[in-house]
Amino acid sequence: MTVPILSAIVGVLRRIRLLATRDRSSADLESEMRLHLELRTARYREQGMSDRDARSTARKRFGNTLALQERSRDEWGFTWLEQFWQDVRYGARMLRRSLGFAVIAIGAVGIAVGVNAGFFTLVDTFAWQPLPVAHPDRLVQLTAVDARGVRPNQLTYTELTTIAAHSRTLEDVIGYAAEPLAVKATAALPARATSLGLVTGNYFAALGGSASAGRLLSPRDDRADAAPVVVISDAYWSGAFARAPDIVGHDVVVNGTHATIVGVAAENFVGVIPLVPDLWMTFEQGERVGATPGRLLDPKNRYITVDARLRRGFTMAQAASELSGIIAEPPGVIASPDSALRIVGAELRPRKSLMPPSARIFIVLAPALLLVALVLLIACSNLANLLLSRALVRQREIAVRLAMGASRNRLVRQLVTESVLIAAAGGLLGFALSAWTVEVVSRSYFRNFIPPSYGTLMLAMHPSWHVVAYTILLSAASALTFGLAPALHATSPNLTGMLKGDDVAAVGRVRRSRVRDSLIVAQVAGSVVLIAASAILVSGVQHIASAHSGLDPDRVSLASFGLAPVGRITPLLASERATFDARVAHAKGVASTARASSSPFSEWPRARIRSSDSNDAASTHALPINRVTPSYFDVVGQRIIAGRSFTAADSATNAPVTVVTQAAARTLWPHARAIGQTLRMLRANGETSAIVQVIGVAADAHSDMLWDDDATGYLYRPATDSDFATVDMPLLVRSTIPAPVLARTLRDLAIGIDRNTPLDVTALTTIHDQQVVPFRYAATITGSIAALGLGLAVIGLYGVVAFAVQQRRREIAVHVAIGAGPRAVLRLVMRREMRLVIVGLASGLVLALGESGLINSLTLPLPGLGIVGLAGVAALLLAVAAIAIVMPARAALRIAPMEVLRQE
Amino acid sequence: MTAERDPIPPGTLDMLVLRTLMAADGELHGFEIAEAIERRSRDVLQVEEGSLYPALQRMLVKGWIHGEWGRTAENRRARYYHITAHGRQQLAREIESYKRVSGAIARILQPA
Repeated sequence: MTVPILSAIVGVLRRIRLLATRDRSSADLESEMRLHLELRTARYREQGMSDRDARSTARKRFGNTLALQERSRDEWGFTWLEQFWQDVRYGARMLRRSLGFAVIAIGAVGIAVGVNAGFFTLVDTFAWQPLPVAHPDRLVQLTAVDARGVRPNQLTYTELTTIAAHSRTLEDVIGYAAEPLAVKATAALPARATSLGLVTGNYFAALGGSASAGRLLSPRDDRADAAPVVVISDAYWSGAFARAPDIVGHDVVVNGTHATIVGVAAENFVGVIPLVPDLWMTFEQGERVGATPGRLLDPKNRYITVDARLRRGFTMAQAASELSGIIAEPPGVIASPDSALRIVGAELRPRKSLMPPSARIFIVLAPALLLVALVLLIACSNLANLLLSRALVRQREIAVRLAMGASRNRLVRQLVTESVLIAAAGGLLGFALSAWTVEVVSRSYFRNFIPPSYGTLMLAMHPSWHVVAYTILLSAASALTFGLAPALHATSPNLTGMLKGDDVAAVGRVRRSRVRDSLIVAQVAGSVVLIAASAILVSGVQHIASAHSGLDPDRVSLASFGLAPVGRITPLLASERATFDARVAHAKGVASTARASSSPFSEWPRARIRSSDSNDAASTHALPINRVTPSYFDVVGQRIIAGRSFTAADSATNAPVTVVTQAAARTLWPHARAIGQTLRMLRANGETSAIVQVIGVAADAHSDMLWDDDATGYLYRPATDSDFATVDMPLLVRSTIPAPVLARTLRDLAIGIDRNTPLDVTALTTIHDQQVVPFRYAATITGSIAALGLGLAVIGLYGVVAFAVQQRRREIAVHVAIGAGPRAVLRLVMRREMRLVIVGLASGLVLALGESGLINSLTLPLPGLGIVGLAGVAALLLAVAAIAIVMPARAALRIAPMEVLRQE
Repeated sequence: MTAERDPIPPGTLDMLVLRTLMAADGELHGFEIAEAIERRSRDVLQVEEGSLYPALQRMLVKGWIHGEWGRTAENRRARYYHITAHGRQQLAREIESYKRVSGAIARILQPA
């Protein structure tokens, strides 16, 4: 079995050796044949022939040496390669001769391929690049399934340890949770907001991590009774310790408790998510120092991402069914109020990459994919057009070569080789462009988007061999797309019958090519679709960013004093916060303050509620809810329309009262006054947890995430002492002084209380704008892509018109000679292209109408363009197209009729 | 003189060259191969001399023969060929199939 393969390989190697020494091999062959002829001649002479006869008889007997050499070389099996090499050299010479064309063509392909390769680099990074850990291929993520069918992505610590202890299908079961936390790194520095990675002791060993100093965490550290230890990241070692060599054994203070640094993870260690935390600690020890959110063994405390490796020989389905048996809770064990949350099974997801490819992801990506593909299509049809024009010019050359016996096949191959050269250079350019753009854009995007307390982003956006292969594929496909049709067209026999010294222009009216016309229409239509897409995004972003929220966020800042996990606020921190609140309230420049469990313009939790007078399950609503202190509405500038806000007494007694917005009042009691009505707060299983009375109605205001649907209104409840004790409730401060000045004042106050408790101050307007960032990026990128597409189409139009004018010189000259004015001449050369533009525009607009629906259904709820928007797109395109047509058309006005006609 | 000679049947040149190289004591260059075939056929077969070279190139590429540059007795540069192990196997195969075919033809031509 192996022998034929081996001999095939040896054969190929032999050929390559012949090829490498092709010139020498040819010379060898020639000298062999010469020797043969001479020996034969000598033999004939010995037989008594005259010198001349001997020579000619030997020759006759031998045959045509040149043809025989050719045949011998054919045996080497690389004639096609030689021809290809000829074509390449010929093509390169042709391109060098028309440098302008070459630059435009390579640039167009480069930009279009670059856009596509760049987009693919992103997809590849998330969908296919393996996680930077050992053996990512067998890595799976564990998900629980509860009685409602909801699949929480996080598990509890008990589930994690049970699975690790009992599963026979999984090994290397690891847990991970990220927690922003105040950490005091050195005695000299104040505590800072830091990212902590809570892990199981086997985390580093399972992922193949190594230490650059000291040791990493191990299962021995899964013990709460040992002195707490942490491992720090390379970035944190640099940032907080200036890479001090004596780092191992150093002491840090985590949430008020001392822990020892036992090692530094290697610089390239990333873990299961690309945000690398500053420190790692085991869950057990984390609980001891108050770094875990809530109690570790609380069966409802579901916050751990669990990954594991499938043991060899087991399938995902086997593992999932085993896991379901391990973590499913038997009915009746859990108290009835939470029965809906009972875990009934488990599921596994492959974890080969950050987002293993799935149909859902590709549906989400489809619109973007279509847009970038459109740019490539525009570039290709553009080039096809330019090549068609060139082919017309080169018709004589081609006709001569066909007449001399070149096969059409061979000529087509040669013309396509030229296109391949363009595509290869363009592909190279595109690859370089994409690598650079992706690097720059992604870096700036993530810097704008990830706060430092979330960790260091370690996402390698480098083009992989996937991207290289994709780029080569795209370039080859585009070479065929734009090269084949013109090559076939140029060599078609019916066009090459003009070998009589006639210049193409002299043939009179040039045959219009339907191919060329439809290519122009396609380019224009494609540009319209691109412009419309970017217009939808830009206007949508504008709409979201500028929409009036109903709040008055100017001069309101959000201050977070101290950073602690849920349920782990120390009495010291609680009392420090109370002191801070009191001092801020009396500080100079502060108008009013309030605390709230959620800041405006962040994601609010949803409460399930129903009006008390309704028993209909269908009238249950999920409303965003916020627990706030009495002055909240004053601080954020939200008016109380009816009734009253909360009082200090409401907070102190946890009074069963609520304030709703106008929209919520309308939703719940469409026909009655809301004040005095009661509503039920419901648990997940539909049971009532509390009945509260409406004491006030607040004005409508868009208060949670900007794109969330809030048509059913909002709900507010008084913040209680237990809220302060368990949740980080940020302080909202309305000031009379500018935000930066206020931030300085607050920082001074915080340092005066405890320089080890970190303070974070952010203007509310900044929080608002943060949400617009992804949309701005999307709009900018789409806008750039649309500009590129339009630019390519303009170049195409310009080229086609300029060429047409050049071709129709005689026709134009005749018109001028018989008295046509400048307007008539312009109309003559522009009419056809303008008509094509209008056809393209119309079909593009039809597509754009559908597009707006597509973008809405797949990505974001953005308002469509509407008639005005579409008219704007049309006007922009017409204006640009008119310029692209008029500019080259004006050349027709400069034609001097007598000169032209005399020449012909 | 040439009129009495027959051309080599198509498709058998490779076999004849390989057989000649195998029978040869040492290595032969192209002209010697042509002469050896004519001699061994007692001057019945005449090699179409030119077509010998494409055939030699083909067999070189296939690895049936190996060529080595050397000097003739007259001190001329010449390529000397010898058969490889691979070439021997090929020869055996070709002889086998040739015998099958010629036996069949002989049976057809036999008077009934």
